[in-house]
Amino acid sequence: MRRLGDYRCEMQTTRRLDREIERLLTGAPLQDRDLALLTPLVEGLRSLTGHLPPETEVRSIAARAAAVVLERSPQPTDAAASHRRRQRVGLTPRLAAMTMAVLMVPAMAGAALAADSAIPGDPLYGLDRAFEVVGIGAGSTSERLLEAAQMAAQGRGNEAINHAVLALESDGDSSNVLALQALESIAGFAGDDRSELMALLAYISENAGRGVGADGSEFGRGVAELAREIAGENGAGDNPATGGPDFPTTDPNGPPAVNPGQGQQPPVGQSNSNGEPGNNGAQNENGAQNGTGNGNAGTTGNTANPNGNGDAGPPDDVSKAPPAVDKPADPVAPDSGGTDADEGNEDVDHGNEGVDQGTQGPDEGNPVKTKSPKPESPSLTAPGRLGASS
Amino acid sequence: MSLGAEFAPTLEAAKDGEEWAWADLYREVAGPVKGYLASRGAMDPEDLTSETFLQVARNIHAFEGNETSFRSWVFVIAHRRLIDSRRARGRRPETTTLLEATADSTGGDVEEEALDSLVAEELLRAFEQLTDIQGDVLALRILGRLTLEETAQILGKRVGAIKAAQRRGLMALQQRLDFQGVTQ
Repeated sequence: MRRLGDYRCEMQTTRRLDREIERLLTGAPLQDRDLALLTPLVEGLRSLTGHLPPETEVRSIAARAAAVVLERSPQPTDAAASHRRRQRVGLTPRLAAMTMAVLMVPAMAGAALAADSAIPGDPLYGLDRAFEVVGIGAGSTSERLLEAAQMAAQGRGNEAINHAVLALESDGDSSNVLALQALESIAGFAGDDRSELMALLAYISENAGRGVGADGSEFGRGVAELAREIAGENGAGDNPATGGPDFPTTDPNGPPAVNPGQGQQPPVGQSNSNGEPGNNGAQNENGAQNGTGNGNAGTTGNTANPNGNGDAGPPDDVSKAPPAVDKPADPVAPDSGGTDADEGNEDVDHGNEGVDQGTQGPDEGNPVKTKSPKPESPSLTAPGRLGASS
Repeated sequence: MSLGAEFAPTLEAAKDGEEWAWADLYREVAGPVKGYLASRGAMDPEDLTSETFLQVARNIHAFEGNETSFRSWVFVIAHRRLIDSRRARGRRPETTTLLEATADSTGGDVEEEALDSLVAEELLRAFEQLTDIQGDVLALRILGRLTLEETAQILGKRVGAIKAAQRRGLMALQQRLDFQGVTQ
């Protein structure tokens, strides 16, 4: 029987190996002779891709990119904004219902604070609040989806989902049906899945209306797949790995009214409990480790709202433009979950790292996923020969 | 390669639609992005790279951050494009196009190129043996030069999972290359 010391020894070896790998990948001198043998590999691969692109290609892409920017850069004039405001009078019933839902979420959360300091003074969002909420619809669908991604980056998960739903709803593209169903399905679960939700919204933002796939169905399926990951992270889906019944996987051109698997979906207005620290831990096999991860998450400074996802935030938040973010590079994603069955297993193998290695990030060894792991060679579960000489 | 202090003014100029700024940004990231896409089996890495970059242009107005953030953001988009292309093809990635993708831009000594090609071929074959996640992680870390945290963010995984994947991936590569005598 293995003793605690054995695990500790193994962990120390693993940590040493990880440090060596960092040296290898950052070009620092290595102590591990076995690992040093891989230096030519790393340098070789980098040299293959380190060349400057041909100047003709650079000029061509630069011209196209600049043209794209110039196409999109004109700010809405007062007349245009006024025109859009008039157009908004004719909201569809569903859009109106969703707008009401957006209004109600923070109100029901009992956190109707006056204003979010990030927003006041922004000329685009300085309108009356009611107009602001409707005003979310201003601009193109992709702009609003981008705003939703930024909300997610701030930890305002459910607001982000509502924002994205509004955008897709008003877009009217039939290929959005599956995406809408998927988004609505995770309305109660996505609160603290900041990185995964960002990924989902980024995918939507990039692909909505572009008809990904031969019949446009690829877009909806892509959204459903990513949404399953989020729901799986939160223990919502029965079968997050293979596509359980919780999310639509059928042709998006089918009837949009059906929302399969919604039995597990809490109403939008009740979805604000997700952001509480430790929520994942309660649903996780490894609650102690997860608790460690979540505890650290609040100290990273990257989670805009460590107390929650912003659902309980001021109602004004709903309609405000989130500040521009550099979140794509947000280095620590406290709630990013393993989504791969294979590596989920690896996570479990080294799960204890997260506990003893607090300085290396809150995420380590936090086996949220419960997908059936794909067996790997037993030799790969040990630190192995890479660390042998260190 | 790095723009360093020039990044901020370049970014601002790019937001204003200045071609020179986009050219500078493209030179910075095109090689690694193309290499990443190619190594992960993108059917047409060049097209995908330009698509990625045009998507960057579409959203640049909302981007605020430093050069590292920008690079990471570009890879987020590139990775999403890659996933789309994989779905569209409906099959596992191939790792046979990195040479083609880099052939146009490599310059210099012919013999050296030939040697590079041989080694690269071995490296790519070794890469093929990795699982998807191991390949993704090592490609982002080696070719994209991204950090653990950035890689975790892009792949939607935990840092611990990324560490485990790169450990196992490197072990697998080492075993294979040792077997072939490439690293001797």
